[in-house]
Amino acid sequence: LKEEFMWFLRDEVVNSDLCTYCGACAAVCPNCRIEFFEDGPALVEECPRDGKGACMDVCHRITTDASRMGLTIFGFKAKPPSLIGQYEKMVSARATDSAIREAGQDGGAVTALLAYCLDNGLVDGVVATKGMWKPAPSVITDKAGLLEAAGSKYFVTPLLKGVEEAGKTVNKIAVVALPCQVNGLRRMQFFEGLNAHPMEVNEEDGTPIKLPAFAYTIGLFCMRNFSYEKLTEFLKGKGIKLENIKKFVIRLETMRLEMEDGDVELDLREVEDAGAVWDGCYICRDAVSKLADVSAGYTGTPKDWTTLIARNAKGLELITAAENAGYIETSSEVEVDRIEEFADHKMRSFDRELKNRLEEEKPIKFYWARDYPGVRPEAKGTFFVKIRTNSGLVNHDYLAKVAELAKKYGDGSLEATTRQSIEIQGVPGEKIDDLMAELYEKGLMTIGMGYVVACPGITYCPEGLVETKQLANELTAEFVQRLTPHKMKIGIAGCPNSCVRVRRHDIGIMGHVRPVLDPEKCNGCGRCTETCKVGALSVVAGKAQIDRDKCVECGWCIRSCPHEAMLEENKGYALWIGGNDSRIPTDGILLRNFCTKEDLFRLINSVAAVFIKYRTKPGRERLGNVIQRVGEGEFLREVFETEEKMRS
Amino acid sequence: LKPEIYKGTPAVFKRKDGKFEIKILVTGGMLTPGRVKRIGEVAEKYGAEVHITVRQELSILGVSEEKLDAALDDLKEVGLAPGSAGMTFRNVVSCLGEDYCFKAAA
Repeated sequence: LKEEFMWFLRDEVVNSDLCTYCGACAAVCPNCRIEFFEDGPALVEECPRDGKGACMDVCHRITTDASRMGLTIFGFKAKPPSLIGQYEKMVSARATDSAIREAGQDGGAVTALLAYCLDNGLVDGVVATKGMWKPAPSVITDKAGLLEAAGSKYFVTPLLKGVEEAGKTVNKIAVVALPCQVNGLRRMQFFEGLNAHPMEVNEEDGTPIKLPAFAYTIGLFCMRNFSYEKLTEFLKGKGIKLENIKKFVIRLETMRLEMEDGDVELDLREVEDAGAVWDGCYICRDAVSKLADVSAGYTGTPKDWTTLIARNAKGLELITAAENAGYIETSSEVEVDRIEEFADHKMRSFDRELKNRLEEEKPIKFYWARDYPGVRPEAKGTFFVKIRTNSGLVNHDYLAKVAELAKKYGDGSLEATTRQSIEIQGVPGEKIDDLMAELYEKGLMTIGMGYVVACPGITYCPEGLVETKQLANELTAEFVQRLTPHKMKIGIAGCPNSCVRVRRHDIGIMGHVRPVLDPEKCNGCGRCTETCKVGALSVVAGKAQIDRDKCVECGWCIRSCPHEAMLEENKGYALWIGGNDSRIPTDGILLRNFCTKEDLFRLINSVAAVFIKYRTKPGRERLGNVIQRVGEGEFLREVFETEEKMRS
Repeated sequence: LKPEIYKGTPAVFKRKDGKFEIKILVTGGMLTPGRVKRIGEVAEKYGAEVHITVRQELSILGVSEEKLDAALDDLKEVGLAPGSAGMTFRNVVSCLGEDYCFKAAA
């Protein structure tokens, strides 16, 4: 049955022992054709898209894409990957309610956080795994349900399928998930909105899959997860009565079972050797749920306390509020090095698994490569790494480092891009980690999104009218990685020669100067008429005359006048918006002449705000397309209105 | 108003600071580690900076006139030469195409 229908994920993920059983593929299948079996998910009916639909897009074992997910999760403050991920604050915590503390694992802090969310209407449902035996995803809406579901489960469950179920009854949920499920959840969460196409719809009746809003994602620490069938078989073989087990406690090297008639401790290696560990777990790199709002686990805190890691502002707010409301008590006593050791343990296990797979020539997806910003896949299955420059200006030290990295890790070619970065081509997936570690060590950075290009400007170029490189760096610092409904490319040209193609950038900035004649000094020699490339100058009645319709404000007449009769009336940055040269090209339109630097920042913010207001198809319409749809006049009017508000 | 060029080579020309820029021909932006390294070495040796242009060329900024011959020789050793400038067909800009990019149609 399972081999019968074409299904991309079966060939690429499930049969390659990469699947984590998270359930994301089943949750987004418009026709509910993916079901879960003992050895993994399967497509149970023929798929009208030959098994290459939304399921493929949300699978985090195809790509986790943490760098892009991080943009939204961490509010544009995403940092490069690290062992325990980025966070705002770490505390140890436990529930104040003794019933919760009793039922929960390690002090019940997670259960208490969820109780706070439910009691205060922050969510109207919690999706978690319920049932010590044969656990299954369930939607919980009250404290009794929470107590029932409390405590760690160590079996793979298609939790995210439960998220789709929740969408039928509740609107806003908190999810308690393992690291892999968090990754799958983030793929689902951001699939609909900014980074991809709209949610798929049911072929028969056209109704879209309804997912609830993900209010809070609470990620757990995890070292290994187990196959229900194989673990129960193993335990039965050991003479253990399953119905007597009250709690599982997994530590680095042991599995402890708290039983009604005393505890049993097992060597984890023995459990692994029995094949009870879920196959997809060996290739996992995340022990601490790096993409969650709050991560939680036993490591790093005293017995019966839980480490809570607030990863973003939202997570920090939740922990603080729950403490203020008396649901949890916290202490700052956390041993970060133990958490790092825990995470490192998993990375070393990952490294071993990767090495084995490469040696055995077992299929592998380098799903983690795009966790680094600026690393993108190539047609051949290798990756390129886009290395940041200082808006195109580099020194010998930089070039030596880049050349060394390319020689060591790439296929021997580099590309100088049209956006002034250098890309190392042809890096095999298994070398990405080493390359990136060395790259960061050398002090280099890669480029994710939104990076400003600029010509050399007044500093170097004889024709340059304004400073460009410093402005480019300031704009990059301000706007880099800020999410917009589509890519927003910024280019700065120092003069109307526009080597950077100002009118073909979403945001184009160009230096210009308006000439004005001092008739006292002009003797009508006509030199300016010879140098003007656009025929804007003529000599009338013995004096130079400027045709303002033709003048492009390049300043050549000013520079060429032998008598200093042509003067600068005004000089500054012209701001053009809405250009692009991609699928549906648009020409930029002039927003304002002679801007100061301050004007530029305020205006770009205004443009972004109006762009966001009118977005209907994220990732499909560039700024220029939206301006055309809304109408130039209307769009500009709103930009100026927004600007006025920003001023006041 | 045209910049002063060196020995009739339009791609080697005088900049604002009185020093020269060598605009190296890099067709389609494609480089090798050896060439990138050499460009860096030349920049270091002659006290210059390197600018990556929006037309995928690498430009060495700030070589003084008396050192230009030596700098050009150093570049020549690894097959690099001044490229396009002025009223000519300029260097060809290209994306990576089907060899690398999975979006490419050709």
